[in-house]
Amino acid sequence: MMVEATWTLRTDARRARWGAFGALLLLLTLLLGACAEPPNDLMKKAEDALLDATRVSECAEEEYRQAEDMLRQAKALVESGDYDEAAIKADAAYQLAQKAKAKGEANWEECQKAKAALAAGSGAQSGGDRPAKLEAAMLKTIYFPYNESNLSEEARATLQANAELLREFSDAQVTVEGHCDERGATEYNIALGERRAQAVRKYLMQLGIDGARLGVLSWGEEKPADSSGTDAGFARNRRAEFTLR
Amino acid sequence: MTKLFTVLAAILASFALLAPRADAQEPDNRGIDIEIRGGLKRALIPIAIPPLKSLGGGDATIAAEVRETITRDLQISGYFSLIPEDAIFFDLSSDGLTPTTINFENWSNIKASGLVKGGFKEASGQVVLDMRLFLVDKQTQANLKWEPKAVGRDQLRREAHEFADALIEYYTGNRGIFGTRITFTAKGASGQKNVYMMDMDGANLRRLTNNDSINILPTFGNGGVYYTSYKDGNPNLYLWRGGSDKLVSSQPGQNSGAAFCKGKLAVTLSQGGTNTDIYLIDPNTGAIQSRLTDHWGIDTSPTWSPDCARIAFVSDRAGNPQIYVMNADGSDPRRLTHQGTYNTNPDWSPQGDRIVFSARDERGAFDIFTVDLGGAIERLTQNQGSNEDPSFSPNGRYIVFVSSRGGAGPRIYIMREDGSHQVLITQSGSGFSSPQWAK
Repeated sequence: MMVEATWTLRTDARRARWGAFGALLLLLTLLLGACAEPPNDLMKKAEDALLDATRVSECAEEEYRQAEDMLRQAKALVESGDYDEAAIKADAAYQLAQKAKAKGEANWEECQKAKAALAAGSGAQSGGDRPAKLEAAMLKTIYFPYNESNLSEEARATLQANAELLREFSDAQVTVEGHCDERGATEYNIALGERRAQAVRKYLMQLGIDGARLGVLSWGEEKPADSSGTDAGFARNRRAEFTLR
Repeated sequence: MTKLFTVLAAILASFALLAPRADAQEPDNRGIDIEIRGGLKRALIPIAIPPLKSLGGGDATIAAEVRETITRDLQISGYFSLIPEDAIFFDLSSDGLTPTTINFENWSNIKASGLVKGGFKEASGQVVLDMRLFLVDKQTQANLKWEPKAVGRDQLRREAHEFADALIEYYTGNRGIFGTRITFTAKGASGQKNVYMMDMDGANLRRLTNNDSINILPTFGNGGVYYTSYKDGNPNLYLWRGGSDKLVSSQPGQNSGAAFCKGKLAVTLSQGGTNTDIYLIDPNTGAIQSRLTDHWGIDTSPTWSPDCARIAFVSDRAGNPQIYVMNADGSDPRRLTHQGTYNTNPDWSPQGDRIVFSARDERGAFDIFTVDLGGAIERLTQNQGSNEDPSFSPNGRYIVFVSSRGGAGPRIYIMREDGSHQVLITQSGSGFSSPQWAK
């Protein structure tokens, strides 16, 4: 709208401005030639790779954390305008994320078995082959796509495992806490987080868990699990977590 | 290439604003064309504010505080260009406070159109201001709707704001907004959020909640500030009034989005189910009076029309959040926004003709738009970080909002209702959200 209005200026005024404008155009061209663009493609590539690795991150924790950290550094450099250095870090983040993914995938079964053994082992001291009581950390977190509260196949599989634990520890009472990523509207996100937590509760009830044992609380976007501001970080914030009541 | 064009367009536009207006008519010092939307045709009124004089008692800090307050108000207003102090080349000591003792030729030479002059008296802790507006071209004193009164030092700023409000009313026909307040939330170092209140120029900051929990979504109403807090383990609705808190609504699940209008309180409740809807509740006891929406979708964020006859709200019943309007009894809901896939945070203008809201684009960034009741959209912010949570000033001429521009995190800005003249209000800190103007 502003540009259109500029053309309506009277000719005499316009002519006076074109001289100065020409000089400015020249200056601008020189400036643009001298300074580089932020490495958007590399950043995007690194973010995507990190997101891709999220799913197996628990079996390549060290590598995943390094990749995340590297991407954070790259972001900070973009912010401060140091694009060359940012590009190097972004590329490093990409390499690390790929490494994390490869390791997590290769390592997955063994690592899951080790974790299960560890969980069983911690209970073994108190007699029997199971822990004495349910720990919140044993119940796995469920993740959701953007602005969605539907449960994916993966989420259902995780919840089946959680339901197994809830059946085993039949006196445990839990709260399902729904969360959103921090890009939405504050109030709408409380509703969305509640919907996510309710979807989890409903599915667990379908699996035979008594609804009276399952509380629901939505934190909306107020308690992000990951404040990196990356797409991978946002994905980790769209979740339903379990706490013990 | 598109980026380059955008830069050039911006430069062209700024030229149009800055260059002397060879095609303009004699500047009209009543500033008639400020009504025009789009920003270009408005001429800023050049105004000078020389230092105040002591007319008996008091000290230089009074003069400085009043002058600084009025100067900032006029800068924020977006109607004036302030004549810099070093442009005043002549001796002020012989320049008086009446049309016959002011050397208008001097002021005309430095291109002042308006001239704010004044003095103050102080006796036994009470200050009386004597502030005046002169019209340099006409060599007369303007007749302002402002009566000076004796005030304590702690009220001096407010008194200066009232003078600035009267000055704005003289030029625009609408009372200014400088005596008004804004509530908002600020994030603390360990993730807690608390509710604050400040004067609209960022002064007199005051904290309303003080706990380690999450306190969010403050709105003015019922003589206080409603807000949602997790301090008791569920997002409940509280009313802060006169320094104390009162629990208003603690239905299981969501209790939020309080919108108060002439004794009626609309809120968002989920009642522990999956279905978040808009209800009317008793403003003091929280007792549910009626359910206004009953849809499987999420319905949140009610905002009243100024006559309290209608309510705009957010609903995702069409698959993603959009702005809807219904009657105050919940009848005749209809969709107002049809562009974009994430439109939220509506606030109805005091004039009643449009609703401001924030819309999220594919990149995840928000910008601020208005929609009139026929569905026509106007964009107010663009390409400057993420901009959200808009709220109209009581006179409808300004909008307060949160912006992430400048890379310093979310901070509070105001802009003119047409999107022009965007000014940072919070002078330090960041991590702010949900500003709401007291109306």
